[in-house]
Amino acid sequence: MNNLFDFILRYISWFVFIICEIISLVLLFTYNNYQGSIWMSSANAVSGKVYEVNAGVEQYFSLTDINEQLTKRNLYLEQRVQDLTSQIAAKTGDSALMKLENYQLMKKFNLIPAKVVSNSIDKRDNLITIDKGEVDGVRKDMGVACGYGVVGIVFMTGRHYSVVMPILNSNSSISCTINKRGYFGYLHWTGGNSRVAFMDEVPRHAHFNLYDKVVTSGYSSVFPPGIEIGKIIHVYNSSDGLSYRCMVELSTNFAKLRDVSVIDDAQMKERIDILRAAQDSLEKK
Amino acid sequence: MNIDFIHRIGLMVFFILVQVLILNHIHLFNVATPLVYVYFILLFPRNQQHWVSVLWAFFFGLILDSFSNTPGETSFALTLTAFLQPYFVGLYLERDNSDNTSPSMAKMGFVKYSTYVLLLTFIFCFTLFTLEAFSFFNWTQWILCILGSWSVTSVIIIAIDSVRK
Repeated sequence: MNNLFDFILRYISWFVFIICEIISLVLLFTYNNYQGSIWMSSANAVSGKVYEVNAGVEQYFSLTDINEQLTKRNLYLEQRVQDLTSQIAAKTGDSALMKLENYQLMKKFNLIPAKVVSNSIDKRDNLITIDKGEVDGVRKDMGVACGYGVVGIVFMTGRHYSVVMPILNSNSSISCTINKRGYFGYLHWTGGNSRVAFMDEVPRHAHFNLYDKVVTSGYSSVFPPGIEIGKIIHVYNSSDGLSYRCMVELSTNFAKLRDVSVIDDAQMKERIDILRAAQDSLEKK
Repeated sequence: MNIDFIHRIGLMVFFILVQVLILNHIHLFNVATPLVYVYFILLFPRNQQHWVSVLWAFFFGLILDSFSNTPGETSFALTLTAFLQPYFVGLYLERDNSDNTSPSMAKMGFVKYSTYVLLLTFIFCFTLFTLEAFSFFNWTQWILCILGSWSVTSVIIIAIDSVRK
């Protein structure tokens, strides 16, 4: 018996080696038809977890891209919906020609995706910095929107960065309209709550309801028509009593603003030039 | 449970994570995958009991296998490599080194160490890809895989060891 133990101890490495190799070969050749082998696969608890964590981390790195794509896509779809509804309205209503023109206009918009680099909401004149500048095609007075709605207007441009004047700035004034009712007004912000702004100069004879949507009018060359701004949550009389003042709950959450799109209207420059030419010719007379 | 044991477990986890999360996704020219985890075997010191290193290699291989869904393959090849490793250490490591030294370039010199790495890595790659070829056999693919992975792996191991102190 001692001899046997001596023998085993002497050649223990050979025994261990051979046993291990046999187990390996058995595993190798029976893997595919061995039903209980899940614990040997990448689906077992440990390797599954490692892969899951890894995928989580990888996904995290691609989130930025996905976000950007989604913002752009969202904005596009929003415009598209607006566009189609107005087309339907054009088919049934009377202002067919004008709407069709708008549709043509839409196609010419080029969206420049950008990231918010710095932002504030607690001042009276807030400004936003984005990471796209002249090099990327951003010009002064272009509109800026995010997936939820309007953000503001490009105020200054640098080579690689731009400053945007958001709705949350006392100097901001954006031409807007009550969706599907066609009354125009100007959106102003007076400080305080970053979720509400005021739509001024709504005519007294206007008919509208609370919670009606407020969208861009498209009458200024900054924003195409139909980009959402917010909804009416309260109505006051203006200080001079000649118009209504509507409190608008903004659809854009400026505190969480991350990805935005600059709306590049190729025709804008042309339009502004024509406008200036017209003004000049008026002044001469 | 001594400090060496814990140290080695840590090293093992490190090699597994690096291999599974990074190196396994590399397929240079569709044939060469760096299999740097063999380095774990090459580091076994001379005085380690032979059967212990064989067991280490076996379990190390099993864990790696479970990640890549190839049970038996890596463990077979690694066990064989670990079994042969002491003979190669005996060939190339000078006797006057203390018994618990790991084989390294500093101890053995560039030529001897490189030969040691090249030989053992070749045995490993040859065994591994031959086993893999059981499921799908293609002469050129088989030879290219062995040569590709062998060269990439040895170069990386020699490079790592040359900067190791």
